[in-house]
Amino acid sequence: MFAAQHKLDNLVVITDFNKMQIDAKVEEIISLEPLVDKWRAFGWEVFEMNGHDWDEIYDTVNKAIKVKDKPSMIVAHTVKARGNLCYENRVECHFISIPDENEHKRVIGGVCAEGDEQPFYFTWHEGTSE
Amino acid sequence: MNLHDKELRAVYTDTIIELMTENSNVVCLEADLGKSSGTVPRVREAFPDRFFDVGVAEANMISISAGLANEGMVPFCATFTPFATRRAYDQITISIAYAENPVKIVGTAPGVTTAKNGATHMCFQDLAIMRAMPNMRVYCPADVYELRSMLRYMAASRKPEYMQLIREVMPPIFDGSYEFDPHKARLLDAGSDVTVVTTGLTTKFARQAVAMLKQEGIHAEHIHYPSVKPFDVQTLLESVKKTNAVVTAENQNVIGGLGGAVCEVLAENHPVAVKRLGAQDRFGEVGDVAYLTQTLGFDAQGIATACREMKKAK
Repeated sequence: MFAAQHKLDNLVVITDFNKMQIDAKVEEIISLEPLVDKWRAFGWEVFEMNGHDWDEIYDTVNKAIKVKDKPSMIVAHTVKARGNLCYENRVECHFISIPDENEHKRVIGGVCAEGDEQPFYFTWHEGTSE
Repeated sequence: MNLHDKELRAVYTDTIIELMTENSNVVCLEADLGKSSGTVPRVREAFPDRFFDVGVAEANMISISAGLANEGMVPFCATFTPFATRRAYDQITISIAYAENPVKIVGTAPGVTTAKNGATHMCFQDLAIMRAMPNMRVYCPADVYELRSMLRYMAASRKPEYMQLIREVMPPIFDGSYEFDPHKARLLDAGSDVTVVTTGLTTKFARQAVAMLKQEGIHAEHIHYPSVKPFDVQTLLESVKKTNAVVTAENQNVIGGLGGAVCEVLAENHPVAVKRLGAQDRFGEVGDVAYLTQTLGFDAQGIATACREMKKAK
């Protein structure tokens, strides 16, 4: 509210929107949706992007810094622990303890323990508003 | 499984489930740290209608709990100590303490026991700020039996109360006969050279220190305070009239907590020399409990050293 009131167009904020928290998925605790509409209602210019795509990050930040008379919010759709098959997008990835060399190798190598569920993938395309 | 082999958070969860089974007014709240407190998934699954995870919104957890308590419920709400106290301090002050709503606030992973979470999570001020609040009571259990009895007391008390909850296994001190009384400190060792006053985590270290000192012929009198407020004045004064020297040790800043309470009582009733051990007005850091307590000087060695010096100076 302060940033919109004072037209802080030199302020660009990125939400790392991975849709997870410690106890469960965010939507199972207190949903943030519709997140984009909420920021718009507070007087911010809002962009969405795939937070794992370097080109998209570069383009979106460049658009945001050119906005006049408003602060900008970039909602970056991301996947928590992306790139690690053991923990990617799983609730238990918030705090990972790696006690020894073997566990380090297992986690870095993405070798999942037997019985581990397959990770849940979320993909965002321009135009979707999950 | 022997109760003493259990983590305190498991006993917290067991007791909350017992209390919720016995009394349909008992409710359990969390702020996205239910796994850490132990109540997720067990309480969430056992009582889905009386378990509320409010998300990372501690001030809201406090306000919701105040409303529930005002309507006759008995809310136990838990999160890490800094978020359970300083983050929601105004809501606690107005909606719980001032309004006298009997909410049970549980601060988990107190002081150095948050260890690798580092300074942001390492609250050294909750005893001081909660003690300074009118109508609020402040407790720190040191073992499983004390914790269990304390929780049963809290569920029945109809008072605003704050309790620190160490999550890990703690060494045995008491047994099934233990009954918590906030007006009563516990004499754990009798002696005449120096009085050692502890609460919560430091009680464990003081017991080790007292045993070490005994071998050297120094007889420390060890008093454990499960309640820092209300504070049992009588037990302290009786001991100090014998020893005339006091060492306090707490898993907190030395300002305003247990050491502060001891000094206030002694200054007005029986002034003697006091050495306060704890964090010396500094923030915490990342490390394990052994490293942190040694660095901050309130492990068994630190307490023993302070006792030797106090005896020498007499």
